[in-house]
Amino acid sequence: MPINFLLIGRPEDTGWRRILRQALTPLGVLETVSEADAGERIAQYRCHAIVIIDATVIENVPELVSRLRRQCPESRIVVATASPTWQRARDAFRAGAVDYIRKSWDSKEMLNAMREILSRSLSDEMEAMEER
Amino acid sequence: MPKATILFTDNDPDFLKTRAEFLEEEGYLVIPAANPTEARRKLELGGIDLAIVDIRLENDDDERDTSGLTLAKKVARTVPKIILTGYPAYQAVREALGPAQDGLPPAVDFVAKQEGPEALLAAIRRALSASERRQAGISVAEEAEVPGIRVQAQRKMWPLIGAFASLILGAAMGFGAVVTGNPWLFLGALFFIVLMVVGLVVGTSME
Repeated sequence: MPINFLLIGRPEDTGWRRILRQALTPLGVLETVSEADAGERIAQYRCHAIVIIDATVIENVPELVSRLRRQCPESRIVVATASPTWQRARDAFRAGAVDYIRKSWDSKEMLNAMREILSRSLSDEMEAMEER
Repeated sequence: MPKATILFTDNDPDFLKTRAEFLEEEGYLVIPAANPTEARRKLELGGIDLAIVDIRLENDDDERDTSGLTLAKKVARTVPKIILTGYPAYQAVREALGPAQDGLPPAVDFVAKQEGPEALLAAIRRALSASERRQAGISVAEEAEVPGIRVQAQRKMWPLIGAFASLILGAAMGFGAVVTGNPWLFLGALFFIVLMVVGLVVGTSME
């Protein structure tokens, strides 16, 4: 069964989003929403397995992470940024993110990063996918 | 009685002494450790509520020295740990607060030495409070279940008590009906037998 990914970021099709979609194709389906529409989309849909927050375009990342955690405690939240700092990384983890990663423009690198997160937090699903 | 017992691991004796004094003034019992071996031994002895671990425990000038993180990942996994460092970096935060292979992050928080003693104190309070909530979460659930079971048992008891009382009354009336031949006593006995059956059915069918 494909894994459902949700990207919260710019609604328009950015270069990084294309790379991310390409990277995630072997694993599942990527859906994108803006920060304003994220709450409504999550309420309509069952919780996504992995929610990726594009920190570059989100004003208050820890607040969004906390909100998503309350709404969907089973979703794994990953924060991706082009310019990581240790304070922002700490704030994201304190709010409940499972990882804080540097955005890569290499789809293989992004795929490996996602595989690593999945292998840590969704090992059962990965095993089932590999069996298929 | 101290608020909590904290293992403080740092290879800088002056820094360790200053911070230990500060935390003792705040009511904590501080157990110092100057290196990974000493920290491991003290952690394995037990009785530690929280551990504060410096990242560079062997050589402050060596960027590759992550002995504190290794210690946090491998030793006493159930003891909450705060990573303290003079060289904060995003990758170090990821290693400290991101989950390890067993799903548990090596540490519960990350503090830079430059942030001062108050930031460390705030992190200690948060970590201990979260740890207490986790422990209380189990006992609260247990406490919530016991009265529930009691109430359920009491609810189940009443129909059975009613059935037993109906049996006594029905038997007495039935005996009276046989002896006297009074049809009203016979009807009364019949009524209590029906009531007993209802009580038994209700009492035994309650979950």
